[in-house]
Amino acid sequence: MQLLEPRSLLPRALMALFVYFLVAAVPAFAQSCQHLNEPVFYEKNNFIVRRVQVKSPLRILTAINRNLSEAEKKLPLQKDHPFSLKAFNDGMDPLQENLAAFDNNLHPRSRINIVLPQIVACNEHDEPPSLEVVYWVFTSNSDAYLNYTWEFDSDAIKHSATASATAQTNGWFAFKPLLGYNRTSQLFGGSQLEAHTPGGIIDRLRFAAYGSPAANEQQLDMSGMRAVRGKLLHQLEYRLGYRHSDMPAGANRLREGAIYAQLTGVTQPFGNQNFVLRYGASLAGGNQQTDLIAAANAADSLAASGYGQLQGYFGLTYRNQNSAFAASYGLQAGTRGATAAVDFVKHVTDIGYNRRWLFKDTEKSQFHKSFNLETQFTGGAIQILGRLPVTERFFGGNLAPNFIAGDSWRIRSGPVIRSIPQNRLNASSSLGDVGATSFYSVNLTASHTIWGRAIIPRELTADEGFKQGLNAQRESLQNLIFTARLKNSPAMRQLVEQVAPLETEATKLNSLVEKLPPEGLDPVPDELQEAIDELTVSLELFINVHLGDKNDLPTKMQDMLNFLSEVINQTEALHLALRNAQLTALSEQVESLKNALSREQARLMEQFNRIDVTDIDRLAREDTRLVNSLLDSFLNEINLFSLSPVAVFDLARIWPDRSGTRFGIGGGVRMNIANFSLTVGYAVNPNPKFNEGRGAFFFSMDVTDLLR
Amino acid sequence: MSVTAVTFDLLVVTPDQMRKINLRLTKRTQSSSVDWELKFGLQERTITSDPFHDIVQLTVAISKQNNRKAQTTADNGLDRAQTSATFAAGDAAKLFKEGKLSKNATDLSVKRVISSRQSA
Repeated sequence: MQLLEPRSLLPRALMALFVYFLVAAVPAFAQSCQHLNEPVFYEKNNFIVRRVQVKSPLRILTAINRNLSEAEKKLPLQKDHPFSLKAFNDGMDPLQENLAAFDNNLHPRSRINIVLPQIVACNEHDEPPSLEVVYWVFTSNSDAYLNYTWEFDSDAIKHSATASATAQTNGWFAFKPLLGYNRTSQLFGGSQLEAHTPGGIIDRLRFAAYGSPAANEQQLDMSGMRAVRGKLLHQLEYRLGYRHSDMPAGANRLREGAIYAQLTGVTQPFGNQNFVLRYGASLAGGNQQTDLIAAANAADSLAASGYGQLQGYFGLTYRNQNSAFAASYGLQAGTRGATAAVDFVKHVTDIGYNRRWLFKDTEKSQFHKSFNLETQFTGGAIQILGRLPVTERFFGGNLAPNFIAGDSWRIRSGPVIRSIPQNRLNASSSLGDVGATSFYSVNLTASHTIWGRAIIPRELTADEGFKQGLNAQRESLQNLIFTARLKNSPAMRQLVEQVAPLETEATKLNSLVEKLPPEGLDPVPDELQEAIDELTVSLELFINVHLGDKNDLPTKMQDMLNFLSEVINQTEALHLALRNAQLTALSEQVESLKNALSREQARLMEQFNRIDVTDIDRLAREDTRLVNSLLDSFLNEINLFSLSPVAVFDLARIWPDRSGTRFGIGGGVRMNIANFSLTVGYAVNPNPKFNEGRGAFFFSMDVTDLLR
Repeated sequence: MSVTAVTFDLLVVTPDQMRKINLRLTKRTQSSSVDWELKFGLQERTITSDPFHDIVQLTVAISKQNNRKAQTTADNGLDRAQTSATFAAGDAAKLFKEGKLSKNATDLSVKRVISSRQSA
């Protein structure tokens, strides 16, 4: 979980309520249908279609909803029209076509789409009798809702909720009015304007401005992303921006403005755990002003100055089915103004580990239950070589700044303790509110789901046809990839070298068949003509396709050997037909060629069956891990919405500070909407020091990775 | 609940990223029968940085005698014999597009995606 600015709380809360009422408004199917095994019954008995719905667990996502809404208009079955079995069947086509249209833009490596029409809510007592039709739509096309490569998405521990939520849309332009409250900034309002311009150097342009009587912040950010697809540099992100902020810190004020430029790289996943390494560098320059000049001087710091900074950072992340880990380290060398003389060196480290325990669903479960534990350790220290700008010191509280300005990769640059308002952790310092030079904090959050609704509703998961079909497609996908991988198998390529004798015999047979029936045979017996025709087509396919392009033969080898059995059977049929037509010599020639084909088949089959495919099988499983994980998450883990009580416990310590280690304990509630979660609560400060307060509200937002 | 109609649409890019195969298996319940249909699409490219281009799209009706195999495929997925037949169908479709293979042989190849199933 990532503690973030609660600035976009209200719109998300409104969205949650909207989704809730939307879902709650869906009526239960009140009537049962007795003739589902014989759907023509409804056509013959002139049932009227009372309603046609397209339902999908993913309609909450703008892009999917827009796509399905367009398809909905093309459905041949319409409200208040007589039920037609043909229209019922044909309705699957526009839905599949529209879903497939996503592929043109998003290039998934694999995906499964399912359209399952159902007749529901039949009422035979109406006059005329009526029914409703639901088209269930499911897609595993993860790119359709997370418009990034998965390496970035899998970094959910450090992922910005705002960035990810925005990525769920295909919009080119987004405007977000925001309103919120925290004790330090007080009631604030603002907006964020974001434009997506894929295809150019700059993919995204974002401007955000927030303000309140107590604080204000503005940021302009241009960024782009390029797929490099190297092992060490799989994806490159670059960013150029400006930020300005003016925030209270107790009796002090922290004002700063800076221009920054960043480069961030991501490796391909490596190791058994699919670790991903992220690394980057940032160059920034600007100025800072604070109010407490004497306190700053006493702390060998500068109340106001220009500054420059060079940052380097790297981090490691991995996720598996039920846990996620992220560790980041950042190093910053800072100067006073545009000089190479380093005045301070800052180190920060941020380590998070989340674990989830899923409870097995029962037959009556309407939502997926889980117990979640989130832990985070953050620490930092500053080596002062000259004078240190006050805004670069560590201030603590229930929000911490991001070490990397503007980036969705979040490395906390300060202690987090949810019982103390933002920037108030050092409020009891004898020097005044000028922050600290080292810190650590530990944050624990536990939650347990007590209410909700599964994203794939019970009525669909209880449908064996759907579940079985979905699992069948997984099997298909894995087998397709397995077969594709045979192409590079050395053993299979060796076997390809062995097919020449078979090709020779097949070609001889084809030459013979081309001359059949023999001239002068009139009439040609039907049995013989059928045998010739059938074998002619089969040999054309066998020689040109199965034995054609040797480069692709490994993928076709199994089919070639299987099809060879059919060719042999058809050759035998030809042999018999020729014999029955008293064409003994030709019959014997065909029999001889059939025997030669059989020998070659046995020889090749014996070698084929000896090939060890264990490694290829393993690779195919790895290739399909992503889509399997996604499907598992949809079936067993993700709730459309859910509610969980939350318990929090925090420890934090800064230096220099005479108050020692600070504690916070509290509780709250977490609301999840699909993969977005919002946590609201209150943490108590059991032993408050001067100006810290007795506790504070906390808010956090997070995006859970669907692709565990 | 009985499944009277359904479509499964499967897309996969081969690991060498040169081919994109699309299989769509559709079940339709008619007034007195069940029909199965297989749509087969193939796209290719010569280098991975290029976009895919269509090679061919074929639609074949599954014969009634293979209805059981079609249902088993829908229930259990393509087995390895069928996926091998899928790649053969891809090559056949490509040759058909180039005028090097007859329509009959191409249709036979696509039908084999269902009929080559090892167990019904």
